[in-house]
Amino acid sequence: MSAPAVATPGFAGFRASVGVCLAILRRSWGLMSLSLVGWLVVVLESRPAYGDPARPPVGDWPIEEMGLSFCLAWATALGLRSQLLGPELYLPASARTRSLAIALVTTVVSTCSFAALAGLDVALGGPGVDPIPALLAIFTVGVGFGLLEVLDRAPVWARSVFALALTVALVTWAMPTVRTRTDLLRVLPFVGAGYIVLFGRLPPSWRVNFAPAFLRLGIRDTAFPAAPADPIQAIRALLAAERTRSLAWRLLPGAVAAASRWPSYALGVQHSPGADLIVGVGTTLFAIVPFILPISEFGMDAVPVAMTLPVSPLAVHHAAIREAAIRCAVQFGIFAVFEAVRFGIGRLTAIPVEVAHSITLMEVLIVYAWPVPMFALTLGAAAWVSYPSRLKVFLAKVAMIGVSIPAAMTVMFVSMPPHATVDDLSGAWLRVLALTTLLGLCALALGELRARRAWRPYREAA
Amino acid sequence: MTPAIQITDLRCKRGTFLLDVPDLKIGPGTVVGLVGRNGAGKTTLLQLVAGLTRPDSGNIRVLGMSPFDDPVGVRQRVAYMTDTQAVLPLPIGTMVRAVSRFYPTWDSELAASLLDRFELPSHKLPGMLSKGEETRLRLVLALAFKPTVLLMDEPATGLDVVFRRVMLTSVLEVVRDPLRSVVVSSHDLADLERITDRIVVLRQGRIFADGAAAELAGDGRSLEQMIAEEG
Repeated sequence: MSAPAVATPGFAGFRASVGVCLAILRRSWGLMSLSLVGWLVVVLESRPAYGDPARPPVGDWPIEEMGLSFCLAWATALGLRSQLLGPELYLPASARTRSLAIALVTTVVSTCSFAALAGLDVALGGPGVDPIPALLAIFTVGVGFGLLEVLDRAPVWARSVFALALTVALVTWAMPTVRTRTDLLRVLPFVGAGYIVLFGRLPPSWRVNFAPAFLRLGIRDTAFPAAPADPIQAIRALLAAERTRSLAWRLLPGAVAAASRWPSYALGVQHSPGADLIVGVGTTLFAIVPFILPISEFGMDAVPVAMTLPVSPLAVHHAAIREAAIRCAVQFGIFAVFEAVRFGIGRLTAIPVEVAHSITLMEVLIVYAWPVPMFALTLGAAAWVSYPSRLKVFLAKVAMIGVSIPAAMTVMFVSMPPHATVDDLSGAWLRVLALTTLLGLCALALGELRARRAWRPYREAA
Repeated sequence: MTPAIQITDLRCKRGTFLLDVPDLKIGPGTVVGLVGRNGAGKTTLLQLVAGLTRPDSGNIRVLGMSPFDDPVGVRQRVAYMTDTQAVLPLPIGTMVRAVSRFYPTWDSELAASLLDRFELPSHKLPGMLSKGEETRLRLVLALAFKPTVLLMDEPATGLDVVFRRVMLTSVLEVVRDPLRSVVVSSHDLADLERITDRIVVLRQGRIFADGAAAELAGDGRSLEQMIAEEG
């Protein structure tokens, strides 16, 4: 590989901006949030370099460059593909030919866009982009995308295996060395890429199919009141049934994550790559799924449907808030149990408590830092989306993804010293908690005020 | 007899668009078609009647009740179906059972028969449904509680020829009961001419014409030509 190249902050930000624009064009929330995170990472990581000659050489840039390149290549490819191949369904070709054509065009477009960006970088006086990571990223995107296109027609199990394998590979690549903030920077793009692979590309039905047994357990006729319904009771039952299904999503990957820790505890190994890998994947699922789903399924589906049912809109609104609060409480409860078990292991066994209780930065970030703004903003968003308006739902999603993630990341990175350890994170996490809870409460108050104003006639009638 | 829908001095402003309906009365046992170009106000009018959006001024009465003062009472008797309406992320059979609990008049046998007629398997999840299947599911949910007033906004979206015919037959079955009414908004004028007693033509938020399809067309013009010319 050629010598590490350092991307100039301005140019990296420019590239990220391109990614954001393209992601917006693609109308993909996952990509947009990822690009925003990538942009934030670049800016914040570059910030201490200004006027600081003592700052150590950024020897880690190649992997970051690769991660960022990967994400931006993906965003670029998807964005351009969307623009260029939007009417793909009308192409007079077989599914296989179409898939290969899409993969080919994606690769070519990505290569050209990167070449153009690299040229621009040099023209602007930058050191240029290290071509190896960029090309590798482009190759990965092209091939991966092509495969995904082909796999769109494959059985569910094959698509699931592929998506999981790709995510595992990405996380494996980044996980074993995660210790400091710089390490964290490396991981983010890969987690994001894994998220896209797993959730950005999969049709919604897959996610639902993931836990059919829990679904059957959770939704029973007995959950609903007998007709004629007490509307309030009925709407609560309806939302509660949906909650049960959503909880299945939390428990399943969480259980996998927790179980994966046991072998390493038993062996007294603090960070075995295998265990970390599974924990990484598990906690990623554990954290991401519940906080994407509550608002997308519960808010987007249950509430608008409820608004057309013979139930008072105000009741729906309050049931929605109550439901969001229950979900938050349950999620915190799960975390508490998770941590208690982990801590208990240290007390009850010969393994030092510090070892048993050790957590990776990955877990801190995903399991603790991200969920908090999600909790808070879910509450606010629940108040907001209980209007039967697509615009409100859109705004709620913008608030959730566009505000909460960058807000959490900003606080975390600003709070942490350049080479932070796990211990440094606790303080940062508290700041994240405080800020995002405040944000969430503001959103909630705003939603409640609007709801009260909009629904005053209903209340007066009641 | 109480009109199914009675609107007086209705004004509803959305941005630069203004829906202005001074007077509209729909009696029981009638099928009324709402037609007009995109943005004429068809969907807004149906949403107002269903109580999903509030007017700036005016009075709306559905079966003698206000959809805003008595939303539960109105919605237990009025079905509102659109081509974009969300459905719960539950298997079809479970969802139908869940929704049934909200309606005292729900007819389980009719629901089963409609699911069968529209070829909807009860184990399927909404995420797996095609656009046409989703439309058929919404129709089942709208028809199975035997609504006194059925409001349909583009009900035939995604339906093939066969299912469109089934849908039209189902709508006509509703109005066999002389107390029940249907208001359908659609761009499919041939279908509307076939099933409606009366057509209301909206133009830029106002009622441009109101009457039987044959009367409105007249002068050797088709209804389609009339709507095209008025734009």
